[in-house]
Amino acid sequence: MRKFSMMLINLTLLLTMILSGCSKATPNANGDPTATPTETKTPEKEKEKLVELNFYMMNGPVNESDRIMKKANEIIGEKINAKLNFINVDGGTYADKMNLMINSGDDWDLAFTAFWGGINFFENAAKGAYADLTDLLPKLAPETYARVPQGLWDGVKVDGKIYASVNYQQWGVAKRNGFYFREDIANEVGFDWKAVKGKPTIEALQMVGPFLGDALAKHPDMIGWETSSNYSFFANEPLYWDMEPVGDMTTPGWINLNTPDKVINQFETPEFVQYAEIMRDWYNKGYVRKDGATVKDTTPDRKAGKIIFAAGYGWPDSIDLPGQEMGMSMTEHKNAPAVSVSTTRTLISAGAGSNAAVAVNSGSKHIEKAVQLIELLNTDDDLYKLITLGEKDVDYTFDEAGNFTNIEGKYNFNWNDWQIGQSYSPTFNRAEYSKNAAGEKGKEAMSIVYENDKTADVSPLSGFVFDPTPVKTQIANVSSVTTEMIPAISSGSIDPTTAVSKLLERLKNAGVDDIIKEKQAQYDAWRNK
Amino acid sequence: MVVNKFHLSKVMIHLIFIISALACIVPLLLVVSISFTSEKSLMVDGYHLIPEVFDFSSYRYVFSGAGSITNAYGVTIFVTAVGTLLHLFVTSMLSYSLTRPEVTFRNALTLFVYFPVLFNGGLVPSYILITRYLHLKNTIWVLIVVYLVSAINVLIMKNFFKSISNSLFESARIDGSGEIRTFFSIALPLSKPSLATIGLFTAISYWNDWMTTALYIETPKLYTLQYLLQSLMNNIGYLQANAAASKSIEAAIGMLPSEGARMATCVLAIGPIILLYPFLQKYFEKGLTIGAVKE
Repeated sequence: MRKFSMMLINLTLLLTMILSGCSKATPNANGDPTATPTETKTPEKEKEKLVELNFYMMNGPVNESDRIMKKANEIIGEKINAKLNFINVDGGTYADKMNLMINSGDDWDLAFTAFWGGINFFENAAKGAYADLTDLLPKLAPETYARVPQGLWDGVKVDGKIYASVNYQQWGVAKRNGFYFREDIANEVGFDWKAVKGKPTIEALQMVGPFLGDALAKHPDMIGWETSSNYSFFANEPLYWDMEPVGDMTTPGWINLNTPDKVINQFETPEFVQYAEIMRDWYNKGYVRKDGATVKDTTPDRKAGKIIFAAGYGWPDSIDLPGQEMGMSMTEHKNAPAVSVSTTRTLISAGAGSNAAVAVNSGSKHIEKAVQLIELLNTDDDLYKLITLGEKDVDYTFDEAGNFTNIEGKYNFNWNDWQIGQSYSPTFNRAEYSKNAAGEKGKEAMSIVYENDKTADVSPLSGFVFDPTPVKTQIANVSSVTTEMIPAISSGSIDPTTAVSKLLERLKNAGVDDIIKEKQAQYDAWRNK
Repeated sequence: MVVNKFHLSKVMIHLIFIISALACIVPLLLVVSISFTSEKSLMVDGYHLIPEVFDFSSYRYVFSGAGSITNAYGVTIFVTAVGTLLHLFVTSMLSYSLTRPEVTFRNALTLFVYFPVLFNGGLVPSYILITRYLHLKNTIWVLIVVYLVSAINVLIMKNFFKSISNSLFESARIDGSGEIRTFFSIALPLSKPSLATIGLFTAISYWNDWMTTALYIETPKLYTLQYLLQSLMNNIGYLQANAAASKSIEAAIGMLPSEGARMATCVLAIGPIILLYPFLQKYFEKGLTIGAVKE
């Protein structure tokens, strides 16, 4: 027996030795070593040694990234003596993985961060996971710091300290929404879509109603307006109603931008009732899908080009800048030509700063190098284009018409350029525009956007972070009510005359007033600070 | 009359089995068919068992989206094969020794195996253990080692070994066989059905595992098939869900195939593992009665 148990112990030991032996060999064998603790444990040699920086981001598999990263690292190595490794984490697990790495004190240097999708920028910043960049940014990344409007830096502050570098994009941060119309159908029916410009949302919808009736009479297989169970034109689009959410968008408690002092329950507003009535009317007349309250994925409708009228990021619209050759969502201009009008105000919303940003690990051994890398990615246009687009004529090209086209199967960053840095630069040369009229239009649109960014309204909530912990139970109860009833009301499937009052009553029972009160209290305390 | 009745019931039984078999097979065939249908035809004609417009673009997307898909197949096959063998090896040795009356403290040892099923440290401690102390992060072994012992499988094996008459092992000892030899030439050959059953379950769980890769693997060369496919699909899904985060995405979305690609991924993912079933079928019946009868 003793012999047997000894044998067992020996075997176990042998096995562990085999396994650990192999584990050490593997990273070297695959030729792509990452910064393991053993490599970084030599601080005295650090000065002359190339610093390796690991940048975690959400990205799918990237083809031929070795080739591009080798070229990119030649530039980075020469300029700041560092080597950059992008570690692409699948979007579905990114938030979990980063939070796990943060909680376990794992080694990372830079990471994409945001307030949405469970990445919890504010929570992690408050916890001390991200390095304080307040002093480092102006010193080591002056260009980056200067290009981003000050209001956005306030958006990534916690207790007055900056914890991330804002990824300022060329399409701006200010939002002005509007509507898209199928150009060919509007012309066919003779609808004056230009008249919708600047109208309040309710009025705009009322104007469009008859047009949808006429259009559907001629094209009965199309869909007037998109409704789905996970998107409500009211609950998910505060800007159309001149409102701004306090904290999470889907919980009750918004402010009206015209009376920004008071937190209100958005479902008690007359706009919501009017909206619900219009949707009911459209439902009865068949302008929307009959199964809108339950259908989740509407992308097939979009791809098939069935939508006549849609909400969207609408500016500069077809009136401000004609000839943009737009298509309806998920289609191309030649299949489903679209025109747009903008209707809402131009607003830099509260989440704009932390919508996309890069954070540095507070436990990283190379915080300064990391900030230098941020500056390099944001200011070296060739490097940025190399990483986000690949090489010209190898990975992308311009066709006979001058259109920018990716070459299939080659390097492709999956359009995730917005995660690694600013695509904005004063000369707009950090992206490739098509070398034809459409490309010029695109550039012109960008400059209009940028000019308006400077004069846009800034949300009164910028920099405010709502802490939901005191009303956690109420929020859970309320959200179960809203997820049940909002899709049905928004899609017009139930009669709003009874449904809205029932919704409000159920919200009251679920504790909506506590949430509003708590939001108001935190908001007041923050403003008086 | 009797014959007729017998015949009717037979027809009924056959009918029921034919229907349930069809219910299993038709969706699978539909998936295969959709994966070969062009995206446009899917929108216009809907789903058909025989593609209206034959097209390989879904597969082209899946293969072009990741030049490393063959590599991922290799990694997964290696992990599945080596992992399953090691798992069987470790599990059978462990459960065999836990059933031998000669092993002192075997009840305490058993507790060590089952205790973590009820109480475990959770994700963060195990992450710290694997990355900091075992240094398994970013190695192929992390994909194997994490699943080497499963308490449930140990339980199943243990019950199976118990059902083998102890006299067999005693007679082996009298004939001069050592413990190792007894294990390999008596215990293991007798437990083929249970090995096959557990082997199949393990192989499938190794084959389908993507979470470990998501957590511990950062080098694209070590991506497993499931993770790579999941990542490709998520790439499409995430782009669609977060279009608001980026305007540059918007143009891209329309170009991505989704329905067809989703099905092509399915076909690739079930691929070889489905071949395991026919080979292991004959052991199944025996395997299912493991531990059901005790002597």
